[in-house]
Amino acid sequence: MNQIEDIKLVKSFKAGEKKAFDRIYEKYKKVILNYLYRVMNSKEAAEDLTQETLIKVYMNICKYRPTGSFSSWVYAIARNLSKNEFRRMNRKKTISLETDIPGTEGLKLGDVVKSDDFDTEKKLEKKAVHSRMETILAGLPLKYREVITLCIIQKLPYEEAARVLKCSRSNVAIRLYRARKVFMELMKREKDEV
Amino acid sequence: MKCKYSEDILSRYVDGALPGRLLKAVSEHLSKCSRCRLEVEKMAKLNDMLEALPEAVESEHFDFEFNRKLAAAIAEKEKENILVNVLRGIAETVEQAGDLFMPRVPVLVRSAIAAIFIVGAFLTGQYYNETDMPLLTAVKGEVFILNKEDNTWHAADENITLEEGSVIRSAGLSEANIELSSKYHMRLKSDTTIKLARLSPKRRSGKFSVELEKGDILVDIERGFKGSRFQVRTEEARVRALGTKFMVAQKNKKTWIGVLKGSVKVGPGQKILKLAKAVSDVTVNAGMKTEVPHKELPARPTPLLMKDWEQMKELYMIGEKTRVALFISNDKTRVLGLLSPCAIYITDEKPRKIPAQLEEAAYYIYRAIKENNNILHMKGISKLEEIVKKDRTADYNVQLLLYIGAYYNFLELHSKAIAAFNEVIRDHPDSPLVSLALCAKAYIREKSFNDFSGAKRLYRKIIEEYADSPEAQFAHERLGLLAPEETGTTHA
Repeated sequence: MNQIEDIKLVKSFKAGEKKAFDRIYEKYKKVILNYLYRVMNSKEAAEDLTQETLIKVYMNICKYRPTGSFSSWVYAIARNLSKNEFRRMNRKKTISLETDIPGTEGLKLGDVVKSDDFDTEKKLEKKAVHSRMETILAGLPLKYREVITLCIIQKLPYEEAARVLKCSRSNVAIRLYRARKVFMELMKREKDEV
Repeated sequence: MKCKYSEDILSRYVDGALPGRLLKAVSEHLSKCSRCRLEVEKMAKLNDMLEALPEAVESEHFDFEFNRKLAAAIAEKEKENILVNVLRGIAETVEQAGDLFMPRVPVLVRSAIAAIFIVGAFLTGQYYNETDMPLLTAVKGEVFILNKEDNTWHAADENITLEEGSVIRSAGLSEANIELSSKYHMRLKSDTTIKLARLSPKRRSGKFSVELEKGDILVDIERGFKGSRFQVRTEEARVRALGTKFMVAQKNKKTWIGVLKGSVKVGPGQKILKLAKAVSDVTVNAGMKTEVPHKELPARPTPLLMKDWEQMKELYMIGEKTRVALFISNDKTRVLGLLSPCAIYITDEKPRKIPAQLEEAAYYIYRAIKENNNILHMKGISKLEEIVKKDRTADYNVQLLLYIGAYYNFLELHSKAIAAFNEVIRDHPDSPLVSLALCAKAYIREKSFNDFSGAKRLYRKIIEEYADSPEAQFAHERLGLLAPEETGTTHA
């Protein structure tokens, strides 16, 4: 995200230039929708929360202080809303997503993925791969889904992800490392079952 | 053999998150260690696969829904703001009432209609004697009313009271607003004809049925009228609603209905009413639309799209207008409340009509009170007078002039006070607050000028001409008290 452009837009929006918000809206609509889609595992919920996020941005823009980047402020709003939504739903499924997947503790990446694992996937259709990947991602604990979406899919730097996730930079690194490990283990398990 | 770099370092390497020196060292290591290289490749591959996942594409109605929710959130926020301000005003007034005798600082509040209603109904000095019939509140361009006697169209002006059977037509590029008790608002868009088919309004309930012959109407119906019914009929459809914002468009033998807030029930027009209601009616919820073709049933509702937003967004604006409310109790002693003097609340519409002078006036008055400075007091008043002069016909001038009069009286400039009240009586003879202006004048004559005969004349005038006003009772009491002094009258 272009921080300088963001600051400019925020400034002119604060000064009463309503058109500036249209640019902010267009810029963030898709990224926030995609972030929430991966986190919520539901397009409908993601759309609702994206709208809510952007409404909060509109209503609270005067509270934004350019100490952190604007994009991480927007992401943080989206993340808070998604957490509230999970709390609201308070479904068993959500709770189980937060627990570790048994049998993945102490594993090393090398133990779970062999080098030719990816080659065999070439044989599968792209679509099928995507759908498998999506199923695995959707089954990961929320904290792993968040970090994978932010750092890998949306390519946010660790520092920005740390601001969104309200943790340290090294925490992001560790969480991401574990998320990868679990992801690969689940891929392997699924493959073994097939 | 264990490598010197752990997997989480490699993970950071893949993400390009290693600091320069470490990055260089790891790169060098990777060129030698095939095991770590493999590890990095696997992780990079996973990254690629995740990045390649298809993106979510927003639904067709996403933008519309966003705009609808945003407009509702803004309206809600404004409603909150005015309530907060009014409550603060009450707190301040109560706090100051005990020992201070000074004008309250005017508060400028921009607000939504619902909140204006609260202020208007409970806190203004305006007693409620409006007719409960619909009013044509705003006219833009050419708007006509059908004269039933000779069947001709007459140009319509603002503030005309409408009645059952009234037919109103807006020409091309013209618009008209119709309001009932500040609760029901309709806007006739360009080239539209409606008939007020059924009206049985009571104070808080009633039946209201509008026939839309052709064109577009925007409808904003608030809740609060218990047992009320509101209905829009066209040849093809009937739309029933309460507590909603919606639009009905009749064109080419089709009726289109879109809903922004609440839900409306849509049924077919009279001709196929034989069908059971349960079969023929559909409920259209906020964010949805339906269409009813001639002699057919309403279509299944579908989401509203961005192209519909442009014509519907006005629904968040109609009915909002500038109101200036005096903060006094609404009983027979309200003249004393006015001369205490009272606080004034100003609610403004979008776009703002009340000029920036008001904020300046508020600033001067605030400083004047703080510094006890008469020059600043006069500056404050002159700013308020500028607003009055800017648009002499504005309705809110009545409240502003009353406030100015009370303010002059507070500064012991009694003649100027009377001049302000006279201006109300002269320029706004139809205002329900004329009796208050007369009474204030009488009271100043009596108390400040000892002009008892002049005061009595005015009190009698109030009793004769404004018998139903709260001031009539007050005037009676004053006359009773003044009677023994009749012989000792002096003129100021």
